[in-house]
Amino acid sequence: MEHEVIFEVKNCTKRFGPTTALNHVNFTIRRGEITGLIGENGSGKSTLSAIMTGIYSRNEGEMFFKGKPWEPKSMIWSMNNGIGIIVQEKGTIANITVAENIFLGEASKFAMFKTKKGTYWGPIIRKRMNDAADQVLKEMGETKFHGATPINLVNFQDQKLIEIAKVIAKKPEILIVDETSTALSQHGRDILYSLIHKMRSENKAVVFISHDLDEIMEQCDTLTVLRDGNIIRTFDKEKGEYNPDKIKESMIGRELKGDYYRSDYDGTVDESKVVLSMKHAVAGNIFKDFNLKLHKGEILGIGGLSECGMHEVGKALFGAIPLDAGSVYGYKKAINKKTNKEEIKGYPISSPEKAIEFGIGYASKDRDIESLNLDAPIKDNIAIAGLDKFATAKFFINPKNETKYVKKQADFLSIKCASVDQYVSALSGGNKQKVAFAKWIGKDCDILILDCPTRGVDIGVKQSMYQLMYSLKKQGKSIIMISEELAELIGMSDTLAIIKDGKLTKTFKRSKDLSESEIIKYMI
Amino acid sequence: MSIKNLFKNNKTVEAPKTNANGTIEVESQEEKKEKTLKAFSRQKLLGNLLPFVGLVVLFVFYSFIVLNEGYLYEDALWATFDRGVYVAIMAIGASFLFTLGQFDLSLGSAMGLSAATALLVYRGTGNLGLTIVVCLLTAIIVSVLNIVFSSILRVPIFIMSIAMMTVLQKVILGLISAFSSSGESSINLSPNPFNDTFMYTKWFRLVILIAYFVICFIIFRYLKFGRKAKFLGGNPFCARLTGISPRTNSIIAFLICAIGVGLTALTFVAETPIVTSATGTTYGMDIMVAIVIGGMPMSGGARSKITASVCGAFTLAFLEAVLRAFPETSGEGMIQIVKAVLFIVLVFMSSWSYRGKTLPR
Repeated sequence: MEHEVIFEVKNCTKRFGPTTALNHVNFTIRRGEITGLIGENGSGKSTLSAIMTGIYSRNEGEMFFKGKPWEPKSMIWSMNNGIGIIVQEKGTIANITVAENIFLGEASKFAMFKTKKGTYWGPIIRKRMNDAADQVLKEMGETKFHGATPINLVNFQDQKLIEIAKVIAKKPEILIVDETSTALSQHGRDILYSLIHKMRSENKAVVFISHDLDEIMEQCDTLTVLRDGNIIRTFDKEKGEYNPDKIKESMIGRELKGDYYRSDYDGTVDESKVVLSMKHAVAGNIFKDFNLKLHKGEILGIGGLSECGMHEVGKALFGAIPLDAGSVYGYKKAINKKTNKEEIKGYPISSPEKAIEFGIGYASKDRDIESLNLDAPIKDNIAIAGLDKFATAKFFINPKNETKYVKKQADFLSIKCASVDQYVSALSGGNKQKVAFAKWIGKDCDILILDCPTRGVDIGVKQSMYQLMYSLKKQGKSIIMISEELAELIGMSDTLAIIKDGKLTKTFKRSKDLSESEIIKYMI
Repeated sequence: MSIKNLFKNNKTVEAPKTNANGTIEVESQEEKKEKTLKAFSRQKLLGNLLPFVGLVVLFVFYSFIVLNEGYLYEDALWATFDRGVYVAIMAIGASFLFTLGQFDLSLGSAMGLSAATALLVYRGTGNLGLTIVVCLLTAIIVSVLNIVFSSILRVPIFIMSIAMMTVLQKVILGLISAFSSSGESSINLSPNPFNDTFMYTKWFRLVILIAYFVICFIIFRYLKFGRKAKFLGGNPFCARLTGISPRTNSIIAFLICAIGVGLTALTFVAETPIVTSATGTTYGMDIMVAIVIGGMPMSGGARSKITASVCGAFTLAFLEAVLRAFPETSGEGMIQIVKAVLFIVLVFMSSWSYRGKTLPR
């Protein structure tokens, strides 16, 4: 049954300077449907949703909302007029409360006095605002934090829930969810799914953007594929058109061949070759008496619920979190000056400088703040970690060598860009992730700590990243992969460490029979 | 699959595009990339050239006024050079601070103090070598004190530098009262002992300017420190996780800047061996305005360029010279107002494009 059209994009074109991000796109959203939008990194999904909500203006084309021309002036305007968006990147404001974030720009609604005309004035009654925020959060099913909680005390995943609450509080008729689920914990995802299905049952519409094919196929009624700024095809669930292979082929323009994860089940490592260890480490209430060993040529997966402390463990292993007790040591062969013999020596890793000096690379989950300098070209971002690789006499930078080095990495990871001089802020989420990855790949680190390495990355690149990790392992490099996706942890790890409440609850060795259900019981 | 080709195979096949007439347009990836690259280069070139265009326009306008009024053209140009050279030398060093997203308002006062100590040492010893060393050391010590205090008190260096500006002026006053005859409000050398030396000539100032600029340009563009400073200015959080120490790099930047301050003090003393408590006080603001006029973003980071310092300093000098040519705008107050308005307009314009995307400090 065809539902009523609520929103239409006709012949829409968007150019960013010389780059065409959307090319004469036609797109329809129907009431009572969850419309999936899928495509490779840089295909134009986020651009399309940004145009629909007034974040960007279009160069050509028309838009109609409920049959009337739609000219959104800004994201706030769009939200107040029926179309809300939860953006891919962090959208909360620091140093204010949860309630102030939820009711951003609407604080006057909680002013002390109300005029006959219905407008408000006078001092803001904070309690009223906090109570209203609590009500929105409660309706969503979130009770862990409250309206009065300062946003800085809320972790990255939960801040996304606040963004959802902010949009839901406006009761939009169309909700756009732009690659939000990867930034959420499982609990957060459940909240999000129940919200979008509720909207569908209320005859409203949802546009759901995600790279997770299983998720998008499960949640959406139709799937529209974008590629290089063009609409390629729309798949209808009701008509039985959901075929993962066909969808993937439409997305990437070719058949996806080869193994997705690594194909072998040999998880053996040389126990005598420890390259990095954490001993009796304590960091506030985040983790206590934590012990971990990484071996040469090992992929060590670390999993758990998002707030279990695994992201902090990754940072501590890189020396970026000061430990209250315990230590992190890197081990390397060195010549003992007394005996003149080669032996394994431990080096304390107490700061990122020392970690990098030792040959450790770290890609953070919080990509835009901790892994990239958005207001800098791709070139600067990739080159900065590998200055030693191409510097002459340790200090002098030859721009030709630098460009050659950067182009090699950008080419290797197929970063979609017009030039390496392009600013990172103009790249799509997945291409940003590739830049963050390229920074450390180019440096040829012996140890890589990758926190959610495939977050926001499309299926084709994901496969290539897994294969790259496997190749690095085969070269004798060691990798710590922190992830919230159990499938990739099972698919890639030699050893899988599960953390719960800052404690290591179980370690699994690579096995064909390892299942998600077996692991989950040690996580919750 | 070879590791080299892991990501290669992800290159997508371009979807066919249809034009308004319904015919399919075929544009190869290479053609598209070449077109995009050309457009990027044009945009970048335009952005880099704009401040220089401003400088040339003011230069032409100033030349027109000078020739029209019948002044000696060469003398007028050198006078403008002298007006801009002190700001230019200090602005070159200050570019490193700007790049880090920091600024030191006490640079002018530090220059005044360096000049005062240099004068006192020369007056007491007559030793030029020692004078140069003391002059540079004073500027370095002031810089280090700025960093140390801001680090101990955990206040931004910019705030610290405001306090330091007042303190330095008081120190100069103290030196004047301690080492000058009663009734004098300055430390001076009379007659000027450098009068017949190379140090007194405009060529000395030009050589110092060029030498310092070339060294700083090389550091900025071709040494690892320059890259690290730009990255640190753009995103200190990410820089730290890339192994760049904010403290070490800030110290290096302040030291480079201090050398510029010391060199300025030296050229100043050689030309005008008189220091009062007001010496250099307006330079702090002038440096900031000059750097921004020259095209440096207020936020620092990757878009920073060291050429902004020299370009901006002389743009400001020509602007001042042009303003002084007209009776309506020749007053000191009016010149300061024009500079302030220009500064605000330029900061507003640069904010318009990308300031919102930069990180809070």
